[in-house]
Amino acid sequence: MLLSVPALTAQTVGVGQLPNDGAFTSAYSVGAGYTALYDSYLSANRYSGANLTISAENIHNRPDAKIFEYSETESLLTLSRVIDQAGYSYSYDLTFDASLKLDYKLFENNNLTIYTGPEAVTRLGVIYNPLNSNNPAQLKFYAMIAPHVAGIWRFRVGNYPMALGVKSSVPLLGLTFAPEYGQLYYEMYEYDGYSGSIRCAWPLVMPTIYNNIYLEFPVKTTILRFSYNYNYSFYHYSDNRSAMSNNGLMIGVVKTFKQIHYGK
Amino acid sequence: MENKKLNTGILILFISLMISCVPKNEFENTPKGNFDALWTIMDERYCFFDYKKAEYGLDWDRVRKKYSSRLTSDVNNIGLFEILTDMLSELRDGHVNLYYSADVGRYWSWKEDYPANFDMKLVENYLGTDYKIAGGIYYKILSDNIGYLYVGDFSNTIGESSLDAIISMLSVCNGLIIDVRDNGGGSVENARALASRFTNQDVFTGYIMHKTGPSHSEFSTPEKRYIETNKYHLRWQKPVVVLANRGSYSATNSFVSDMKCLPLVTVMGDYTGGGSGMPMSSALPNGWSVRFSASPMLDADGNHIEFGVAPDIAVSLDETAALKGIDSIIESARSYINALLQ
Repeated sequence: MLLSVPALTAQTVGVGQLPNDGAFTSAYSVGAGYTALYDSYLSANRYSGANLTISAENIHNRPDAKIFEYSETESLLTLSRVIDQAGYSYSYDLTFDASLKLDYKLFENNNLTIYTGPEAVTRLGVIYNPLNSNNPAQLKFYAMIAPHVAGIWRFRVGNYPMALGVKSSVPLLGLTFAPEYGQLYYEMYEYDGYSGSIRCAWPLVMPTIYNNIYLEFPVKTTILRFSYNYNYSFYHYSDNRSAMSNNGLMIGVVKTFKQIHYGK
Repeated sequence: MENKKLNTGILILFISLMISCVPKNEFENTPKGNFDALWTIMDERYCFFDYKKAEYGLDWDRVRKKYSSRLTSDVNNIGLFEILTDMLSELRDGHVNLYYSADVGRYWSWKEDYPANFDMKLVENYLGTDYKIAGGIYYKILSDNIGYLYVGDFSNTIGESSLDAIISMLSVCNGLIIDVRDNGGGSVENARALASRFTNQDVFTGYIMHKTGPSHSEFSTPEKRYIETNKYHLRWQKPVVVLANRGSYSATNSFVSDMKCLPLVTVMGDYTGGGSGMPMSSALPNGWSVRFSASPMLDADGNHIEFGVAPDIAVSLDETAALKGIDSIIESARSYINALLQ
């Protein structure tokens, strides 16, 4: 017997306000920017070039939670085409970042909200260098836990409401994939040599950071978001060094939904 | 209390917003920068320095001095390419190449400095025009009921169904000749797929290892390599002769080394050309790509096979017979198999 039918309805929430009463806020953005990468396993050269980025995030109010009032999911897909400084050879990078966060409100008044909490973040990606022989690609994978912090400042320009937000997380501990100095993927695959390539990750050997700054303002019934996204990761294992920074300017929309139930 | 929380939050934000950067190139895009970059890449990543020092006294530091003296700041790309290629030739390695849009720097003396022991026109005399082709392998039954396979390269995937078809077609033969002369290599996996049809059990054939750091002697523990029997497809059960020459290089060198470990197999002809380092690539600041041996493969006795695999029976191509259209190496293999049957 059908007791209830869940459905979503859009809700009007002020600019820069976190959702309440079990509602959730979604933001979807697309953008372009600049990627710089260096991976000594693939090349002695630094590469840089343009990227395209898509992001999706949801923040959900948990009215019954005692500590963490909100949960968040974020995903970021970045495709980059980069070239060496001589303009001679290209590489391609595809990176997918996903994270799950719990939020505790540190501070809130009429204009400012600051919240923080734990986060699980994972990255999966590949760098492809078409000129290389037996090392044409480098797999990127890590799963880490991180503290994150975010702030939203609500203000007005004249009578026009706006919000400036900033989010940041610094992964502290986890596991990452990093091949040995001269280890070929063929050898790993054929001779089950993966185990030594899964390594402990922490900031001293693998500093990693995710930052996002955004500006939100309403346009008719929609809230628009302009954001600047920056993430950086570096590792140094087995005398291999790998570094990548992604910068991107993005535009997106923000919508708050509330789940309602029809029926009994 | 609230101020304290606010300050803590702002502090975390400030720390996490500190921008880190991606390292810049270590070397300048100048003739000297490119020379130093190439020398350093090889110094840190090439895998045969210790072995070649013992074999013929290779001294990479001395090589640097020798070739840096030829370098001038105004050398053009052609001149720089020549100096760098000459420097790499000191490694005597066919897996070491420098790629420039106008040329490929190479060392081919492993083949060019030796007798060819192979002439495709002679092979064509045996194949005729009615030979069959499967998985890139040319094959035919010779007049004395010996199967003949010419495997010209291991670049293309050799399908299991193709190998089944070949073995099935040749199953009436008394023996098999697998000719890998002038096969410059390709995929080790394709070579192993072929070899797996000639053993009924897994056979230990050697080792593979990789560099674990930039010094010349930092290597992983050698990993054992096996030719695993192909349990699910047809396997050959009669005598096999593998024909090799100096043109049998890279994956083919590995194939011959592996096949030598199998009980029904005899290797005949000349030494193989070698090339036992699985290659990796890197790049110079000017964008030129460099390929180099990175992971050495060893034979079952733990010896390097970088400079080739010795045949069980050394046979050279008889030039007089060749003038009559006869390949004396193929003929020796036929005689050998026929003698085994008697």
